[in-house]
Amino acid sequence: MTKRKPLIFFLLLVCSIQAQENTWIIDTSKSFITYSGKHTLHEWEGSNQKLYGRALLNNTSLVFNRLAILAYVRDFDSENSGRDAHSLEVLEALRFPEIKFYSESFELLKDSLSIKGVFEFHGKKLNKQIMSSVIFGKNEILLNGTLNLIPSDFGISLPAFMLVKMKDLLEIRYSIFLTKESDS
Amino acid sequence: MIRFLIFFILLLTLSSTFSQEEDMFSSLRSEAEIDTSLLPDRMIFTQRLLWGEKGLMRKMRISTLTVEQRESELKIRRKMLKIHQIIGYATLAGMLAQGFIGSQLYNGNYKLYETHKLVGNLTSISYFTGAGLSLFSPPPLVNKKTKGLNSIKAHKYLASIHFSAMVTTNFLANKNKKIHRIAAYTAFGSFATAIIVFKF
Repeated sequence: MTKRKPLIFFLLLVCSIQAQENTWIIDTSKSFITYSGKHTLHEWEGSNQKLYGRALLNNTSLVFNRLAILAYVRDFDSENSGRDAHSLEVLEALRFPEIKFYSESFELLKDSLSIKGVFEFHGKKLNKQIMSSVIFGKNEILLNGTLNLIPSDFGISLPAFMLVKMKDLLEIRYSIFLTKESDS
Repeated sequence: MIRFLIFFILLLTLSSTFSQEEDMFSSLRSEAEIDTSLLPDRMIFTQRLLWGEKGLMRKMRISTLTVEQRESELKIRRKMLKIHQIIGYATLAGMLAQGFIGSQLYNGNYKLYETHKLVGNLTSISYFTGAGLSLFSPPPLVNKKTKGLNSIKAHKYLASIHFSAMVTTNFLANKNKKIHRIAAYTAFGSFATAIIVFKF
């Protein structure tokens, strides 16, 4: 029995940690992510207003424990059907339909949140650190920020127009609105 | 026993972290509205004829409607549209040359008649090859309806103008010089504009 004590203690510890977590859900109607791309001849922007995500926070101290965000490549809209169709071909949307971000490492600074996590895009995973502004409300949290992605880091071959390739940079802007999941 | 316990705890922690991540994404997927359609709702009639759900390619079992096959079709589409783009520049160069040669002919320099005919034929071959590559390419994955005018819409509207103008130019080459000339200039103007307005 004495040999089992540490194991029982560990399992109880894990259960108690999990019990202290609250789930927060991304409010799809208020959240969005936009990307902007550049080419020598023009610039463009597309947005995705169908973000799905969950965050697990410590229920007493509002400390982030986990964050998972899921978006679909097909849900990006640049208001140009030709460009969107071309993007899906370049991003091989049938093979890699999802864009995911997952983090378990957070550091709350003065008025921002440093998030270290794994970005999965075009089937490739890359570690990424994001600095996000954070506003805590009673039952809502707003995360805002920008980040840069290098498409070639994710094995994406850059599209070309007039034989000139687009700039190897995607500027991402996001606004993520989390609401506390009701206990019922 | 302690070693075993440490190993067990580590293993449990790792697997729990991984499964928690997967659990979170699985529940997100179950909430998401996922579009898994392989064909767009709207496509050009030439594309529907070949690549539609009941198109020739499907009926003849040359290309069945599966995810893998659609992946290959989209690669073929990309190649066809890239060649369409390059051929477009060559056609524009041919049209420019024709404009110069044609104006010389109208000014009475008949020595250039054979050259005009040759360049005209080459430009027409190049034009209709480029058009065919676009019209018969496999359809895109999506074809969203968008509000207002944008580059791709302008490119398509102009295509219907220069296509009709090119057919008229060729049809009236030896029948009505005046209309042939007007049609040729219309083709050139709308074709050049279609290239300028187009953005990827």
